[in-house]
Amino acid sequence: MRTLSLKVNGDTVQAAAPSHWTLLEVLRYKLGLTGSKQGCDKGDCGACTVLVDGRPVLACLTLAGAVEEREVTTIEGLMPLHVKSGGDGPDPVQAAFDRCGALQCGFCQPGMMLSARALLNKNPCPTRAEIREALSGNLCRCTGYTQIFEAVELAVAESIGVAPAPRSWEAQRMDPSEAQAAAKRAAAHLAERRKQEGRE
Amino acid sequence: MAQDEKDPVATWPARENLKVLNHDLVRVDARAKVTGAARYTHDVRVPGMAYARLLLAPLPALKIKKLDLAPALKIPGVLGAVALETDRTRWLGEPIAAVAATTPERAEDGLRAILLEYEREPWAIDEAQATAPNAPKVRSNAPKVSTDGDQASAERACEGAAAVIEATYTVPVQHHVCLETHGVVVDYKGGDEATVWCSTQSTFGFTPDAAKELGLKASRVTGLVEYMGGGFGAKFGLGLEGQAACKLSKEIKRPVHLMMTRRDEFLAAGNRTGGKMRIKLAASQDGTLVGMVADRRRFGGIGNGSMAKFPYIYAVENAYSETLSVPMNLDSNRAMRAPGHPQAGFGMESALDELAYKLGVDPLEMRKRNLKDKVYHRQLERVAREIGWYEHPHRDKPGDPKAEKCIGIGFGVAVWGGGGGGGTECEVRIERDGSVSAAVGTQDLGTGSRTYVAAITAEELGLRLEDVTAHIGSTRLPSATGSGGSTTTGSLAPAVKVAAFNAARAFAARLAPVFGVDAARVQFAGGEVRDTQGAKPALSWKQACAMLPAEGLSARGEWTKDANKRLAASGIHGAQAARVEVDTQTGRVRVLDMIAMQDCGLPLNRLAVVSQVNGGMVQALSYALHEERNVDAALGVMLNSTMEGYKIAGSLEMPRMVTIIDDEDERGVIGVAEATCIPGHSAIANAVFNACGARVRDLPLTPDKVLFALGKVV
Amino acid sequence: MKVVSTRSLDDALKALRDAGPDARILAGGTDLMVEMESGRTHPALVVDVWKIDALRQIREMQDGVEIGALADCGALIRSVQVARHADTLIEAARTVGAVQIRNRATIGGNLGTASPAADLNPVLFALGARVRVASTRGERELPVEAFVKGYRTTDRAHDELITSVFLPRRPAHELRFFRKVGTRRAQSIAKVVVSAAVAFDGERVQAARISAGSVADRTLLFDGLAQELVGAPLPQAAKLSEFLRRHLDAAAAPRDDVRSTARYRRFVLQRILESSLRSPAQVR
Repeated sequence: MRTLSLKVNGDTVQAAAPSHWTLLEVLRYKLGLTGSKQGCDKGDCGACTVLVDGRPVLACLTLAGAVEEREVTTIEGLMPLHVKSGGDGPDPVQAAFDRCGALQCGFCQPGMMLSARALLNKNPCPTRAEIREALSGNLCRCTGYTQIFEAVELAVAESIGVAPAPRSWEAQRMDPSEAQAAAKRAAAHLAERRKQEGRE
Repeated sequence: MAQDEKDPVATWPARENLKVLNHDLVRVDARAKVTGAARYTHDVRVPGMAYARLLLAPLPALKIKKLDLAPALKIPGVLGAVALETDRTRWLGEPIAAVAATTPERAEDGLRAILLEYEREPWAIDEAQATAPNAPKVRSNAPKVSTDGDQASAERACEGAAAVIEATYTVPVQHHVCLETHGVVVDYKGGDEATVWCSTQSTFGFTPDAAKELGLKASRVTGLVEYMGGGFGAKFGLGLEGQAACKLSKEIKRPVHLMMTRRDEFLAAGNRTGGKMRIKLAASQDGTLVGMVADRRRFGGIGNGSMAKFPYIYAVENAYSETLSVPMNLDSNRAMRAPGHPQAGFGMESALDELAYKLGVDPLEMRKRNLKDKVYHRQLERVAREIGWYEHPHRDKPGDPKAEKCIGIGFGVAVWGGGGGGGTECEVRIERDGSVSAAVGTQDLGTGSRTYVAAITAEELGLRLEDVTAHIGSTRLPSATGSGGSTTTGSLAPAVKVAAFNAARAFAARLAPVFGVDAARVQFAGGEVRDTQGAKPALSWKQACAMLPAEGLSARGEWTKDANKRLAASGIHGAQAARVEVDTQTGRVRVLDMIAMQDCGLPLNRLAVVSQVNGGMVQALSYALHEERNVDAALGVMLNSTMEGYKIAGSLEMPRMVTIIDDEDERGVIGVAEATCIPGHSAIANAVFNACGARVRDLPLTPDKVLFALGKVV
Repeated sequence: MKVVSTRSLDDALKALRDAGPDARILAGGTDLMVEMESGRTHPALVVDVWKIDALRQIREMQDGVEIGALADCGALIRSVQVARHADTLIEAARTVGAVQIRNRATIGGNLGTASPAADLNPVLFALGARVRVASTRGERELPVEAFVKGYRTTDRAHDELITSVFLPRRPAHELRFFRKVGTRRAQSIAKVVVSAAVAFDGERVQAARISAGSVADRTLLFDGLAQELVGAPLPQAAKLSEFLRRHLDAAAAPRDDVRSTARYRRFVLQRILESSLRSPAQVR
């Protein structure tokens, strides 16, 4: 047993735990931060994903002691950190997940959203392929992922101030040529943006 | 739809007049879920709580000689241990004992200390072992063959037919893989009451059993299902794990948290029946199915297994089938999303597809020819158009496998009931401050029931979704049935609708004197209350509510046959198409597109329907390409009891998915979840054949099987 | 269980010296944490080296690039030095797990665990990597194929720690490739992994190193095959197939397991080697 000093969601917290405990165990069984989910304990499902210095890692495979002096962000911290940095309400990723119906049971979502947040931090205007790649370590059994991709794309579109491409369920009720045109416009905006960032 | 002026009854408004329902609704609990505030059973923390773990049988069949828990109690931190099985175990993973300790880790230390002495008994864990002449008896009641149809006429029909195919199709055992494992938290400290949280599909299903285990009156035990992380049919009842937690809590007089580990979940939390279907299917020259003879085996472990009847959906003039369960020393099957249907669908759709190519008939036309219900015709045509079937270069013969990448398209259809039943009641309350709540003890598996409880109420009272609070997930609330077989919508929606309707009528009666008119003329719409014909200015909702007494107003509604007739229906249809790319060098199959068209009566929340259909398609994709329980034939050990070994599809496997809600269906509400996972894997398997001529009759369609079917690997 | 965590290489080496053969080394934890969680191992002592930042550096040298043992897959992917000298290593790193795993899975861990399915190791074999290990007794360096000795077995003595991997400078005109065939595209352990480096002098093969994972109990280097290729142009398409079959049948010993069948692995190994060797467009 030793006393760990961790920086979680901007707070410095102390927790007494055996030296072999994982970050997930300390979060869930010592700090009461149960937003990081326990799905498999073996690094397979991604439900325990947290950010360490902005990078997504699996809390279940990380010794708590290994992240002392690093900035740990869990799902509980996402909205407060967004508000602290001048935002209003939930992080854009959270808001977009809400609005796109990107969740059913919700158990995989905290990890999924932190992976998405990490992606957008380093790549504010990702392609669909980059989104899929960034979320490939987070398994979901309910939704079929598509609305999750659309949610990340909505968060991107809104954060850079362009109209998003019609989401699949919206496009269904639009005139096909109109839906295509709208999707093209959105794609052009995003491509332009990526060009400005020097990525294309 | 006849409406008696004097005694109005609850009906859905015309679709074009709906303001909340049939729209894209943001879930009322989305904010709780995206902020991590939503508390699942796994997350419940109660002061003084112990954590428990299960000791599972290490081999498939044991005679227990000695089970000594005393050594576990000597481990530091261990608080208690209970025996669950002291005589015989029948499958690897059957719970034998449970240990509670101050941390989950200490509980695991405790499990390792338990002294278990046993003798192996003979076991059977695959079909060959289970059907061998001297096979061990897995169950005392040996299953009998059940038959359906007339064998002689079916055989005769096949003999005289223009074309016949005969083949064997097999499906693996699939796991539910709910992201939250099974488990309960029992808050009991030795008094005469308790609260039990359970990750379950039935709030009212587990509580009486928990009370019994705790030795308490059922009326003193509150069951809670605030949020739950997926069920898909696996989570009904208290379960052995729940019993163990109650026993431990009763013994140590402390709250107990028992969540199964992922390995426990694979070994002892149920699965979808595996099976084998030998099918002879015959058609006339024009593709009309004339005869079918099938011999089917269900592999449901120590359970019976399930497999939907043949012929599945398609009409066959003369059909005969025999079905037999083959018990084995493996965890029992449980209900899993459309029990028995994905299996039967795979056999039927594959055999029909083979016959179409043999006859040189367009497989889409062959399907339509044998589907009596015209709904399928419009759905198949639509998904075919959407996926590019009519422009596809090879429709009645497969593509050339010499190409490195081959593209193919395939189809499948689905059927489900989705109707409701009695046992659900709802209370709607209107407060003097204008707030409204709808309360019913039902559970939300992620399907969005919490949202539509609020939405139906808001629609009825002319309010916005956010104006209504839904209270669900507690046995302290009015009763509700469990969520199985897509029956929740059909059971719950009418009850909520009637409750809201009754609340509106009662409120109208109170407000009628204000307007000086008959209550029937008082209307709630757009956040206002008005006289439909009068000149008096409308009241805002808040103004109207302010006239209520301090206790507000409440009304109840329940599911009745009569309400069901007006508000709900049963029997849904779906068609799906898949476009795949087969890499003929490696045998890998990539699904490029999946298109679904699905009816479900009145969609309560279109966004949630799309999510259900997408989710169903992906489960089928996963069943088609990845999922399979692997058990070592000699030891009975599951070789892939992890989420690395047992693969479910991830984000990189996703095809372009298009879900088309069939809006021509004008019926009342119907549950949609089950049907959506039935046709996808068949469509994919058929698409693989269309792409390159590889007919894989054994799911999953792993690369080696594809290459084998192409004759490249022998 | 005791965990010794240190930021100093010297302290870690001393801890390993004192610990005896039963201690386990913990780097990113993607292997050991899983083993411990599943109950397959209960080491009395774990020496946690994750915080030894000195082992994280990637340095470009005159004759190649030296990659610290704790460089994780994410760091490999981001490194311009690695991109310059070992592009196939980046390709391989991109296929490891998913982003969360890549942020923890290290190059030293890949070597130290020596799983036959390790994604990075066939590339290290193909590129002629040299493994540097240290102990309180001193340092030594050995070729990667000598370091990996069998199924999850290496030449590392219990008091030694892998400190870095050295990759020699890329020669001119070399054909390189990396191919991984799995089932699910992320979070997936390979069915077959192949990597090669074939240097040319004009049309003629000057040197060749061809390696594969998941086709035997350890990562294989097809020495005999390589030797026969040297000194002549690559065999023509018709001959290549027969040529490969002859050599691979003798060398590879795939097994049936949960992830695939032996016959499938043999077929795919040959197919992807064949198709990759036929695409000299990748030579530069």
